[in-house]
Formats: sequence, C-alpha cells, structure tokens
Amino acid sequence: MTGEHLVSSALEAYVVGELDAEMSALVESHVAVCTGCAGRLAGEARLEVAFAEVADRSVAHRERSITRRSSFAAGVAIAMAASVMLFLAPRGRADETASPATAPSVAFERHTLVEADASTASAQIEGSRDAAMKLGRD
Amino acid sequence: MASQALFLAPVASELASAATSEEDTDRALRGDMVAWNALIAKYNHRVVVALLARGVAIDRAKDVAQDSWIRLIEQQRAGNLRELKLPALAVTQAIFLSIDAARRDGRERATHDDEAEHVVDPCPGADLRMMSEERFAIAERVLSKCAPSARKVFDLAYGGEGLSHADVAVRVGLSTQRVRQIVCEVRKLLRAALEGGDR
Repeated sequence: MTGEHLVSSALEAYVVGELDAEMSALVESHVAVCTGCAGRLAGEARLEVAFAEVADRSVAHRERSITRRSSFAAGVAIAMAASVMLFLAPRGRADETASPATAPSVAFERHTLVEADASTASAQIEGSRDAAMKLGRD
Repeated sequence: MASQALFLAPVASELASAATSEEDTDRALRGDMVAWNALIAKYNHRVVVALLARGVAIDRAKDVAQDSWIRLIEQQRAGNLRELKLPALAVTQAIFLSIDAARRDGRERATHDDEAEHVVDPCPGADLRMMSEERFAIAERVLSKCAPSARKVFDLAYGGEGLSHADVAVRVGLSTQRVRQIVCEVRKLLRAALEGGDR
C-alpha cells in the first residue's frame, strides 16, 4: 500500500480473499473514503466475477460437447449395428425365401436317401451272397 | 525427493476442509446454526465481491451480504429452502437485495432494471452474466492453451461452488501452495487477455 492509494496487488489480494482480517480492514477503510481506489477495487471485483463466469461457462460448454460427442458416438454405433444387420439380414432372408422349410427336410431326405442306398446296397450284397451260397450248394 | 513429497502432499487440515463443506450444507438445511456460521465464513467474501463488481460501495456491500444470509436462514426456518447451492444462491439473494435497496433509494435505476430479470433466476451463474460472447471466446482461447491440470484447478477454484484453494488441493492431489500458484498464473493470463480485449 502507498501513502495515498492502494497498490494493485493489495486490491487483487483483497478480492481473491488472501488478506488477513487486519489487512482487509485497512483496504476497506481506505476504499470507503477514496473513490479512485473504490473504482479500481470494483474493476478487480468485476474481473474476479468474470473469471467465475468463464469457469462456469467453460465447464458447461465442455459438458455439452461431451454429451454431443457421446450422442455422436452412440449414433455411429447404432448406424454400424444397423448396417451389420442389413448386411447379414438379406442373406438369411434369401435362404429362407428360397426354401423356408425344405432345407432341413432335403437334408433329411438326402440323409435317408444315402441310408436307403446303403441299405439297398447291403441288401444287394446280402442277396448276392445268398445267391452265391445257393449256387455253391447247388 | 522427500521435500517434494512434502510439498505436494495435502495436509490433514486440507482433507478435513473438503469433507466439512457438504456436511455443513446438509446441517444448515436442517437448521444447524454452527453450520450456517461456517458457510457464511466460507462464502461471505464472494458475496461481497459480487456486489463490489456491480458497483455497490464497500460498506453497503458488507451490509447487504449480511442481510442476504439472514434472509436465507429465514427461508430455511420457514421450510422454503430445499437445497442450498452456495455461493450462487447467496450471491443471487444479495444482488436482489441490492437492487431492491437501490430502487427504494431511487438510485441507479437504469443500471439495475435490466438485471432484475436475471436475478430472479435461481440457476447458478445466471445472476452474474457480465461477459459478452466475444470476451468469453477470448477467455476460452486462453484456457485452451493451459495444461489440463491447470484448467482443472481453475475450474474448481472459480466454477460452481467455487472451492477454496485448500479444497481444490485436496481434489487434485496437490499442495495448497501449488494450487495458489497455478490459479495466479491462469489469472494473469486471463487478465492480460480480457483487459487487452477491453482496449
């Protein structure tokens, strides 16, 4: 502090709340009678309030952009999931439309056909063996 | 290494300080006067500074700040206070009272009439819209150049509830001295940018 006016650092320290009670009282008593210093103190206070506003708005701004980014990410994820489903779905549907219920039965029929063939073949072998044995006996 | 660890480690009193803030708010909402006194001690200066920023004289600012706390306590006793967002609520109340007083005195009508609409909005931050978008953009540019840790310290010290340096130190795991240093550096940068923008 100077003899006539308060130094800027004292005003700043007062506004920030870093002065002890005694020094704060000194600043307040001077500012109460000195319009020049009162004006400078108001300027410091405005700056302090502006800092608070900057912090508030900047936090809110970042929260909004985080929300926007998450919404975008969610949108991209949904779009990707949808495209994967679209990519897979037509193939499944094509198979289904081609033979909705016949595919398993066809396989079954094929399987039975093979089985039938095998049994027929073995029957034929058995038959030919019996015939050969008959012929041998004869 | 030992001295560095000592410098960075939050001390026990800092940890205690952060824990008491929320407890005080809860207790104040239940009508505990000791808790109210603790909150007043913690936030009254911010209320006074908010009034000074609006051109209220120092003696009057201190009186109005005192009145605003009395009003809040009365509101709590009447059962009208369900949450206590400080210091925003006390600042809003104080600005409302100062406008009311100015109107009664027939002074500063033109300055405060436009602000009256904002004051009744209880949202934190809506009471002190003093910055233009342009100045905010300048400040944002300055903050974006700061280290993330410095920005976090600044946001905690000035945003929302406006934590004390000791409370910020606890949250970020630094010493109070280091937090004070960081806040001072960011303030200096912002001051240069904002005051430069004014010219």
